[in-house]
Amino acid sequence: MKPLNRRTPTILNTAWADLLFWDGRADGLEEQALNPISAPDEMNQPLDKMIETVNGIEAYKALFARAYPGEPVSEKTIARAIATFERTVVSGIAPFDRWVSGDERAISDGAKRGFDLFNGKAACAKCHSGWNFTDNGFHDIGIEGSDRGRGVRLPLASMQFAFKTPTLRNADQRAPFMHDGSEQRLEDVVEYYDRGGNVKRPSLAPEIVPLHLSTSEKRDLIDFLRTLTSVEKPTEVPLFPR
Amino acid sequence: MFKTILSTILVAGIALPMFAADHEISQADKAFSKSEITIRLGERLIFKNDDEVTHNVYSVTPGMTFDLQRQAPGASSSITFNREGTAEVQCSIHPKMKLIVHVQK
Repeated sequence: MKPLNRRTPTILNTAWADLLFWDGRADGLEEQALNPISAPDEMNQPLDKMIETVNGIEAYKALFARAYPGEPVSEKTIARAIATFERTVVSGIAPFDRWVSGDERAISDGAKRGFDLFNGKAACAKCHSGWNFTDNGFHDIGIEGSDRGRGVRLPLASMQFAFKTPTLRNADQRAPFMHDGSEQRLEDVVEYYDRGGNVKRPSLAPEIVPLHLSTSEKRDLIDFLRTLTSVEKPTEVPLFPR
Repeated sequence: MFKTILSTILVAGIALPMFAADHEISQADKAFSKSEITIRLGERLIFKNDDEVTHNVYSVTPGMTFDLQRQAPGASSSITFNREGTAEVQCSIHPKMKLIVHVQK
């Protein structure tokens, strides 16, 4: 498998997302689920072969019969099974949530100042909005490269070089950042937005402008971002039928 | 592809004057003020951006395609529908924003 041009987007909290992938080409998790399996640059498995493989494992046949009575093992039921699993990948209660619920000691004073910046001077919340810190929208944030992103699917001027806004829940566990993985650390991401992105072009979102944050403001913003990470119980890897 | 067959007026930063055959749709909190509207042929829809973020109203419904392009907060844009049918209208930036427009004689 060769490296892909785009970083793998998280499936965290995608139960609440409509359009999936960085360019929004899949309308729902069921449509998304099979794409990486058949994509030539990813798992490169023809879907009829996938069905044949799953059907060849007795334990899987029994599990599918229980989950989808009267339906054969098919692209449809496999997609539904994977999508159903993906919907269980949900972020937990983070320090930020405990603070919002009234625990003043849940986050530091710096993080509280960072939250003010997030909503005010840094204007992150214009796109990273709501409980999941995403508008589920598409924006050109000024990253170099020839990948036109959403613009390939929806050829409007504003959609050129536009990519989906990712959730910021548990973001500090998902480096590198941006759709192409071009920023290595949260600190780099904040510097990126502080200078107003890397490329000026007609499709650049009007919200992307230099922020003129001070060193301490950048630190506060990062402190806030780290409060969005929840501590989860490790997921036990199941024994897969063979 | 997005060559429009509909007439469009774009006015940035100011409110458009309203006439009897006009219908206003507000955009606030990343939502249209209505999810569905029925208008008559030749009537005008005015899209007003009452939000704090940029919007881009468009439709790719065959025969009724249009692109109002980016609308800054406070701006209004309008479109006149000169063809019968049902157009699915969305914001390209925020795809959860959806509006069905029924155009009747």
